[in-house]
Amino acid sequence: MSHTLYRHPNLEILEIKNDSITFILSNTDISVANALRRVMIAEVPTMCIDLVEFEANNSVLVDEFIAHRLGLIPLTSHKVDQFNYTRDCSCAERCDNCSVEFKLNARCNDHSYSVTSLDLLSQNDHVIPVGSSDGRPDTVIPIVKLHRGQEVKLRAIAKKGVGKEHAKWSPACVATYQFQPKIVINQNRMDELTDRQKEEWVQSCPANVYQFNAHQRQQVTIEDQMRCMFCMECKKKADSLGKPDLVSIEQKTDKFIFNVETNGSLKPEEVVLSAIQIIKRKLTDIQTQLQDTVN
Amino acid sequence: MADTAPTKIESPNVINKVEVISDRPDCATFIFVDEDHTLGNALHYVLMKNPKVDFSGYSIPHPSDNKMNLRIQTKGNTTAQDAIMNGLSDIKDISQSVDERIGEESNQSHIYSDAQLCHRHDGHPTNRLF
Repeated sequence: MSHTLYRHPNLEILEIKNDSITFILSNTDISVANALRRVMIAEVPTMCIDLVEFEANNSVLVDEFIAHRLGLIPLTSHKVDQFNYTRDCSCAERCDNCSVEFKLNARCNDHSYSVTSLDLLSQNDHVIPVGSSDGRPDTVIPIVKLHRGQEVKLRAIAKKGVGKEHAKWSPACVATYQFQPKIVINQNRMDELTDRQKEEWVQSCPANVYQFNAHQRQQVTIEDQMRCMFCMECKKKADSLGKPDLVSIEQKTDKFIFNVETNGSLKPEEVVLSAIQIIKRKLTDIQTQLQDTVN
Repeated sequence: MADTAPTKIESPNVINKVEVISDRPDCATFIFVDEDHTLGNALHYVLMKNPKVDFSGYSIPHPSDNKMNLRIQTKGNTTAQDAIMNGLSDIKDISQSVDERIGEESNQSHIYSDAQLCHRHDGHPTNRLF
C-alpha cells in the first residue's frame, strides 16, 4: 500500500531526569501524539489509597478530609503490574494480589506533632509513599497536625487504578506536547529599523526568544526559538512599527515536543513505555472483539 | 469506611466492547464502549489515510455516556469490517515503531542529566530501567 510512511514515527529523547522526560515525536499525526498524551494521563495504572477505616480520630480534620488527603499521596508503583484490579481479582473482597494495607498510628504527647507520609507504614516494601525512603525532610507529605492529646489511628487500603477513574491514580503531573516553532526574521526589514526600535521589538517578546547584539553590527538574532509560545506579541509589535512582514512564525505540525513530568509513583520513562503497551493492548483487545462479533 | 473514589468506571474487560450496526458490507457504524477521543481520533486518522476508505468519522454522542461511535464508508472494494481491522493494525504498527525507537534512544547515556546522583527506592540507579 502507498500509505506506509506515516507508520514509522521517529522519536528522539532529549533528556531524562529523575521525574521528567523530554522527547520529540515526529513524522506522525497530531491524533497519534494526542492518543499518547491522553493515555499517559488517564490510563497508566498506579497504586493509590482507596479505602480508609478509622479507629480513632480526634484531630481537627474530619475522617473524610483525612481519607481524601491519604488518597492523594503518590505511592511508588514500579511493581504495579504484579497487582490485579480488585474488580478482576479472584478473591471475594480483597487480597494481597489486588491491594496493599497501610497502618497509621500517631498520637501527640508533646506540644504538637505533624503526621506525615512517614507515619504511613506499608505492608509491602514496594508500595510506599513517594519520598519516604529518601530520609529527606523536604520530600515527606504532611497529612494532619496534632495537638497534645490528639491521635489518629487508621487502616488504609491501596488499590490499583487508572486516572480516568480518579485523578489521584494519574502518574503524570504534566503531560504536554508543543509544536516546534519555525521563526524567520526578515533581515532586510530589520535593517530598516533604528537600533532603538530593534531593541524595543526584541523586548516585546515575553519569552525572550530574540536577542539584540549591540556589539555585532546591531543584529537581531533568535536566541532560542523553542521558548516561543505563539503569543504573537512580536507580530503585533512589528505591525505597530509599520513592518508587518518583519517576522514570520509558523507551527510545524508534524513535530511534537513532549514534556512529561511524574509525581514520583513511576519513572517518566516507565510512564511513556507503559502508555505504549496500553495502546497496543487496547487495540489487540478490540481486534479480538471485532473478530468474535463477525463469527 | 470512607470511600475516597466516588465514581466507578466499568471494567476494561466488558463483554460487549464493540457493537456493529451495518446493513451493507461497505458501510458500518461501530459503537465502542469505554473508548473516547484517544482511540476515536487516531482511528479516524488512519482510516482516512487508507485509499480504500471513502469516509470515516467519529463522535461521542453524550459526554456522560461512555460510548463512542465510529462510522466507516468504503469505496466498495473492501468491507468496513476489513477497513477497521486494517486501521487498528496500523495504529499497532505505529505504537510498535515508537516502542522500538524508545528502546534505541534510551541506550544513549547523554540523555540522563541527573541520573548518577540519584538512586531510586528500589535501589536501582535511574538509568538502569530499560
